[in-house]
Amino acid sequence: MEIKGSTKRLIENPGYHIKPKYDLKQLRKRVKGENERDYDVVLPLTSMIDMLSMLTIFLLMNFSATGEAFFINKDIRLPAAHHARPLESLPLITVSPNTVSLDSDVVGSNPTEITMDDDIPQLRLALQKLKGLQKNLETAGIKPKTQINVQADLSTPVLYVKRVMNILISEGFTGINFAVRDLSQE
Amino acid sequence: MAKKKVNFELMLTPFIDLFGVLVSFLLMTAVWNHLAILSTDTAAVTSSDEPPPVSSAKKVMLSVTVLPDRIELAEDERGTNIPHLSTAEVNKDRLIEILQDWKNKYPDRSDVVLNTENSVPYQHLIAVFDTLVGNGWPDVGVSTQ
Repeated sequence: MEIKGSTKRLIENPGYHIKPKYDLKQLRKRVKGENERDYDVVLPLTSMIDMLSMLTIFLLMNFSATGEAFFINKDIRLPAAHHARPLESLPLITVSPNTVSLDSDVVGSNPTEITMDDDIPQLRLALQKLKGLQKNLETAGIKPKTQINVQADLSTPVLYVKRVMNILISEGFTGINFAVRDLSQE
Repeated sequence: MAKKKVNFELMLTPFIDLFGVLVSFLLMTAVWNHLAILSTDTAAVTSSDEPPPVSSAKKVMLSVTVLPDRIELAEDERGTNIPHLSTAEVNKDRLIEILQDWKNKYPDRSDVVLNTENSVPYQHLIAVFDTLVGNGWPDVGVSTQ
């Protein structure tokens, strides 16, 4: 409240002004009712928006509209290449250190000692089934895919890959594509 | 005179909602591994019982053989050896020099046969394959012999 006069004075209610030797601050607060928790939480919106915008920009750069599925085996480290072409959606054969798979189905094993003449009967059956499906597609007027993708770990001896290639060729899949990590975009 | 209102409140709630939905969608469609393929048409180079067609002009057979310790490049009978830099790395620079030399000698050719010894690691096959494709020899036939 302002009082008329030469100087402006502000009249305040007298507050606590006596400070004893042993000041019980917390007790005073509790008596006055000032010890209540402040339930107003202030969200740090600026930093949240900064974080969200950085995340959005990063993910936009990694966005892909092609949406092709590719089974990446956790045991496999793909070799890298600079001059590869884009991946096509085709049946995938995975030659891992222990197994041979067609798409996600295990069709054979990789023993430690093998020769080129060792056959994988389950793989042959699966390929023959695939060939049969493609013949049906051909009668329906859809061009069959004679290509197939092969992926293997970079330390796998080539013998294991060649064995699979021989079986593929004998079953009529002559277009073999080796899946690699694309370094041309990095 | 009425003062122009200069206080402007940003609508942060819909802004954050939009970002939240966008981030969720982009997380689901993000590509973490860029994959590609090196393709080969094995019908051109695998052995078969039928004899190869006889052409009037003798075609020089260009082949690259990857061995555990070196790469052998052969034009018919003439060969060149390129030792590997280490067990994990092939000597790509020297290989590129020879491939460019071949390109100068045979500008109309783009096919080469890639042979590998059975114990060679798969990464060496891919490294040589990639080098061939990137240096003017896109028609690579991988031999399964």
